[in-house]
Amino acid sequence: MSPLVEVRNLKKHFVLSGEWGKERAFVDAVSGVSFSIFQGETLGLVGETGCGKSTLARCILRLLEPTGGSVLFRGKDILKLPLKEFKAYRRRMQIVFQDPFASLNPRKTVFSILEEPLIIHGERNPRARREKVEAMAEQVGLDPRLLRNYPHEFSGGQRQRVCIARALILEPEFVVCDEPVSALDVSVRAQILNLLSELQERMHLAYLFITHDLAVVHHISHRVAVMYLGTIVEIAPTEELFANPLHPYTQALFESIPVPNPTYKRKRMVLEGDPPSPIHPPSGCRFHTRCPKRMEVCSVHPPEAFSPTPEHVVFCHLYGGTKVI
Amino acid sequence: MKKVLLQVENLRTYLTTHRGVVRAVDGVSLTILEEETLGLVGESGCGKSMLALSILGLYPKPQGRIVEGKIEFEGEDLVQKSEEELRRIRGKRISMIFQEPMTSLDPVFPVGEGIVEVLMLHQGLTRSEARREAIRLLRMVRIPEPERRMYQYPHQLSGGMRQRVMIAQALACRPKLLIADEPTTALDVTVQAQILELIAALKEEMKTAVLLITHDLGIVAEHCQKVAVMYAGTIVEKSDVFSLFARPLHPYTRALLGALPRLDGKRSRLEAIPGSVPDLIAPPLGCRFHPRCRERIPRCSEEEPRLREVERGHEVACHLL
Ligand SMILES: Nc1ncnc2c1ncn2[C@@H]1O[C@H](COP(=O)(O)OP(=O)(O)O)[C@@H](O)[C@H]1O
Ligand SMILES: Nc1ncnc2c1ncn2[C@@H]1O[C@H](COP(=O)(O)OP(=O)(O)O)[C@@H](O)[C@H]1O
Ligand code: SF4
Ligand code: SF4
Ligand SMILES: [Mg+2]
Ligand SMILES: [Mg+2]
Repeated sequence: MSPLVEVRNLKKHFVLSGEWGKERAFVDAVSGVSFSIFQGETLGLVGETGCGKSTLARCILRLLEPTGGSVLFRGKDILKLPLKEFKAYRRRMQIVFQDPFASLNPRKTVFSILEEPLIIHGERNPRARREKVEAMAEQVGLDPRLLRNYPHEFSGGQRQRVCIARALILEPEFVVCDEPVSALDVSVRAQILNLLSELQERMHLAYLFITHDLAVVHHISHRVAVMYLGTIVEIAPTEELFANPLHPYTQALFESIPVPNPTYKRKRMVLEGDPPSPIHPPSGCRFHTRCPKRMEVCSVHPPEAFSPTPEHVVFCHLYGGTKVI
Repeated sequence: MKKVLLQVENLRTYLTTHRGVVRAVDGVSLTILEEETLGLVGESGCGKSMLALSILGLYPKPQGRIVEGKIEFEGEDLVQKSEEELRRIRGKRISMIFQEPMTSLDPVFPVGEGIVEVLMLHQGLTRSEARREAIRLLRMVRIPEPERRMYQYPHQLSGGMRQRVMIAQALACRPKLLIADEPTTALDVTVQAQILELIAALKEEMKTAVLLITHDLGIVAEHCQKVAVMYAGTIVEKSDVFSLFARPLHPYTRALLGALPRLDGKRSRLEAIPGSVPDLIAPPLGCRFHPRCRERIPRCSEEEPRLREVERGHEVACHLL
């Protein structure tokens, strides 16, 4: 089966204009990322704040212009398409953001928020639009009688339902969920996670599901990619990754999760320090400044991909025969 | 047997707003023993912060007021204390750290200054003694190069580093009670692990009791001996941490655990709790959880259940038990 979305060596640098006459600095936010997503699949993307998850997602959807690399959608390089041709792809790829309040226009009713994408993409018949909006509201569990209300009249969970409905109303094939449940409480989070799973089955959606919550990513993903400072360090099917994490950063992340079971005894590798800045990222393996297992080679050469099993890839000098410097 | 350090009895803290009176804390009783860590869990908006702020007399004024109840700390009722008396207790015998240290660190002062002030105020140290002690404290919370860092401003430090400074400041006078209100909610999981281990180690060394407020049941399981589950301004279940997780009894506690994505064993669906936390201006009558409870009986909407000991040391407020 060929992938629905294929990301190849994607890069994004931000240029910081020189403050107080200082030299211009580059934020190396996404630094050569590659992976594929298949139809009907959820790829989880985990990593700490600032590691480049949102930037990566926005580049894939062309909401930001990447610095380099390509994104293939059903084999077509969408970064190379002129904007006019790209419009046909835009409706097939959507995004749901973390903060359901900030991303909804407070002056519009929920009905017109949901109707808008249909208008933009050429649905001229108001009755057809109304029917679609009502059907979509139903699908995400919003009472159609509430469509005349404004976003502020809804709870956080209901607003996230509105955002999901808006993303799905054009029947996309691929949806990026950028921390969609991070602002929600446990009980509401469970409602939204269940809803996203149901909709995926019903509409055969592929998700790129971004989160920093490892329990959530474990629950929702078929495969998981772990990101650190602009790079993917490990990618594997969920069960395999959680049973056999190979990258020292993945291991540290997993060992940091508090487990809701007081009889559980953990071995814990507590990482020192904070993630470094992407303005002058560490040389070689970017994790070497915090890695408890670093070797001499680690600060010199970036590690190459190693696959212990066909679907499991790790970027670390501990595996696959270390290069001699 | 450890001595009782803090005893809150039937506390009600109400806030007057233009929409009406918010019953943020509505009849809460709890006890913390010396050197013990009590976890207070619940979803946002259920009154956890307002309960913590009530203990220190820091609830918003003039909207907020304690309308009923006692807060006995080492035998004295804090509700009866004047602002001046409370100021002498805060930072010395009871300290607090918050979710976002940016809000409690003064942005225009170097981070070491707060610690120096606390030490001069409560310990009567001279400025130079206090400075030396501040450096020692910053080293204790594992801030690298404390001599230099103490002159930096809050925005020059990372979130984890700021929280370390807050901890150093809070523990400067070796308080008997530390109130930590979601101290790691704004931090990443690897930094969260560092901060929680730090609090645990210092607490052990200084024999400080901790009221740890969180919405994360994992943190409760790992760091607390006792736990109180709060819902809509009231405590619905109280127990030691082992029996709470082995035998959660209140339907809300059970629902919370069921709604949690787990790492042990994958479930296709989470058991979501319908609806959301109620508005505390007009909370539901009877049991406040009844509109969302799968196990409710007719009595639940009419009569408020009282917290009762149903097993040794395990209290639950539910008509079914
Ligand atoms: N518009 C921008 N200009 C400059 N730097 C940016 C911009 N957007 C993001 N960054 C930086 O890029 C890095 C990655 O950010 P982001 O993609 O938001 O990370 P994440 O979503 O993983 O938290 C961060 O260091 C962030 O500060
Ligand atoms: N300054 C305030 N003015 C009015 N209402 C407030 C204020 N702060 C909090 N509240 C309300 O008090 C209730 C309890 O809030 P809080 O103690 O912050 O909950 P938690 O810490 O459990 O999230 C909520 O309903 C909240 O909306
Ligand atoms: S390459 Fe070296 S520094 Fe990087 S994770 Fe592997 S062992 Fe650690
Ligand atoms: S008192 Fe009734 S509504 Fe409340 S938790 Fe118990 S069974 Fe549910
Ligand atoms: Mg982000
Ligand atoms: Mg709070």
